[in-house]
Amino acid sequence: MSQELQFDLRGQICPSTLLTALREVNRHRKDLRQGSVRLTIHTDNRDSTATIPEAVRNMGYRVLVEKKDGHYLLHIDFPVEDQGAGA
Amino acid sequence: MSSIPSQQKDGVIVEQEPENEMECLRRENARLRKDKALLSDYIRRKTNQLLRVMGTATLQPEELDDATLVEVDPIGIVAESFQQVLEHLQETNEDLDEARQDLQAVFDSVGVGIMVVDSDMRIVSFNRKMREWFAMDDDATGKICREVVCDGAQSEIGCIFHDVMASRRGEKCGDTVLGGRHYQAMAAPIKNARGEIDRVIIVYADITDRKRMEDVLREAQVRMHSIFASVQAGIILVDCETREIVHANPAAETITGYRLHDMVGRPCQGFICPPPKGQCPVLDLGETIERTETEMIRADDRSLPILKTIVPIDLDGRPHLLETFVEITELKDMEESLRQALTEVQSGRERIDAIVRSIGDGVVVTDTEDKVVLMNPAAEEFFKVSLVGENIHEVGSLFEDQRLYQNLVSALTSSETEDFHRTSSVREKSRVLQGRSSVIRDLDGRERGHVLTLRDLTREREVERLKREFVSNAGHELQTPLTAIIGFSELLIGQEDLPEETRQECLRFINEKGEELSTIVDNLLDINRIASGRRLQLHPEKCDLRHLASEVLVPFRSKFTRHDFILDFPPESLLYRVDPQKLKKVLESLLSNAVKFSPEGGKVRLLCKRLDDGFELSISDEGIGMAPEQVQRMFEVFYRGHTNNPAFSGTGLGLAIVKEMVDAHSGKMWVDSQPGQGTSFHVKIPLLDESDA
Repeated sequence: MSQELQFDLRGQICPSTLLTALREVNRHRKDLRQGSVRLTIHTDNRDSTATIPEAVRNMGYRVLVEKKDGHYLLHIDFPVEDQGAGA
Repeated sequence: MSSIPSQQKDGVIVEQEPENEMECLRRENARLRKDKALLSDYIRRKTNQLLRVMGTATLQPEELDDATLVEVDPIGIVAESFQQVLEHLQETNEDLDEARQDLQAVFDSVGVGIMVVDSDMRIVSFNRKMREWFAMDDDATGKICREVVCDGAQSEIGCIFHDVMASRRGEKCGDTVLGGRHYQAMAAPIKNARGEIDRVIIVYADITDRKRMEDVLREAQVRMHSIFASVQAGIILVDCETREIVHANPAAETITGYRLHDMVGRPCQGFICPPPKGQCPVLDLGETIERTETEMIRADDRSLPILKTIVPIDLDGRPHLLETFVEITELKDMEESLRQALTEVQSGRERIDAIVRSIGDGVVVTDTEDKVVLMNPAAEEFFKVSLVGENIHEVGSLFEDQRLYQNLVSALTSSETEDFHRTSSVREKSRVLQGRSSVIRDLDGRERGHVLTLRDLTREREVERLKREFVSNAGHELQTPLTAIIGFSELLIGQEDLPEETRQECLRFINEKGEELSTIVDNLLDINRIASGRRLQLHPEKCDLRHLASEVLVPFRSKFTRHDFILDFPPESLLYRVDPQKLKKVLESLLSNAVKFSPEGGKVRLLCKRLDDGFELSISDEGIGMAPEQVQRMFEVFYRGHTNNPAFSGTGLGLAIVKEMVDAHSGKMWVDSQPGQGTSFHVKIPLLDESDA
């Protein structure tokens, strides 16, 4: 089971949110790619639900956008084949 | 930063004297702000450039002020992210390359030919099957596909590429003949983002084998249809599930009298199966194949004898019944004629067989290979062996008498008439056989075998012998009384002075011998009549048997005084209708025999018994008796049982005549006798009707 790291970026606007999100993805790049970590970004900036997934997907990650309690949750992980196969 | 170049001119920085320190600071501050703004702008531009490359939205100044911009190091963040984008692209390219290789493998190994051409009809790529089928090599790339694949023969009309370009969608071409083989071609356009056709992919499937199979199938169907139409037997095809006729051939129309449209869709029951039967022999009664002779009711209600066969078959994946039938009217007529002819032949054969079996003559028939094909019981009796089925040359070991066997072989292999004696074993008497053989020829004169007829001449030869004996004997029998008559008459003529008593004696002898002669002559006449086939004429009248017997006994008692004659008759009346003269002769003859073969002093008993349907007379003596063989032959004409003893003279006619007279009364006659034990003759005479005469 991978570890979930939460980042609450509510109150920030894009592209600050984007840059923060990219910075966290870069920081946890190794763990993400190994599948031991997944990130959940909390944001209330609607534009970020388009810019973050767009940028992160180009980097090879998988993003799931979820709306919850008046804000957005962006779940980011790396599609490790073994994980998918085992699910 | 103590001095700031104010301006550059010809590569020489000219220091300007500040108006004042504040002005200098102000200018320096302004320059620094400008440099910072330039730096922010630079960072902002570079960051946006990277973000655009990453494919995301750019930074907006109002969203991120310069101070924050410098603080968060967006270039560093975006550059690192961009590095990940590049790595991801590289991985994606590797995956794509792998996928392309997989696709190429499929492309080459698939059983169809695949070719991609550009919008100018130039070949872009093709797979291994295309190389194999159309002798395409690497040089084909870039060439016009029509010149390579279609060998320039295909015009625009019928060219699938042009069809796709015209319709702008997928097209299919049923049968294209290229290089002597048949292909089915399918093509589809590949469009770019603007909807223009960049490529056309064409797929070829080799359908030559399928075409050949289809041709073979079509030819077979044509042949089947031709057979179906021309065969003289009626054929009806029935769907097992609906039990309806689905097809019928022209012969079925002719035989049934129904047209095809009358039959198709109708239940099969009632066309060639008689309606009363009710159940299908195959579908209801579980028979695998039904083959029967039956009668069919035609459209014109005429009954027709047919021979039908029903076979279940699968057709188009559905169970059917194939019912075939032929009219057998002529066959039935011929069968009936044949049956009659066979019956007649069989009857004739049985008749001939019965004749051959029952005739007294032996018959042996051989075929051309000298094999015995017929031998009747008389012949088997002659040879004491059955030879049917045997080769006449291979049965020598079955014969005790090799001379007889040689006679048989000789007779059956020549056409000469032959007489041969059967020299029998000690237990049997010698028999005389006459074999006569002749060649059997058919209507064309070809030899078919031999037939040998065997006649038993034993009896004929015996009769001839008996006749010879009779003539000699009769001469003697006639001579004896004649001698006495002549002697006594000469005495009477020559001596006139004979005493009257002697004369009377002589005359009585002459009379007596004359009576004997008369009897002998009567017997000869009777025998002659019997031999000529004339039946004795009866003259019946009511007679008292006791009186008749007493009359007969008188002369015997007076003549044979030493014999004891006993008359044993019941006390009641014995009145019967008989021919008295003939019955007297019977009694005289039997009494005469009894006296002849009895010793002097012997008892001769004459017994009479009443029966419900007539009476029985028995004459018994105590004489020498007879052997069984003598008993068996005693009624034969000329037969004399005791020829060896001259004392027992006779003509051999007496008992034959007695038998004839008893037969004339419809009576029966039999004998009980043993050698040395005496003899009893029994005569049974039934009640005669008034009409018997």
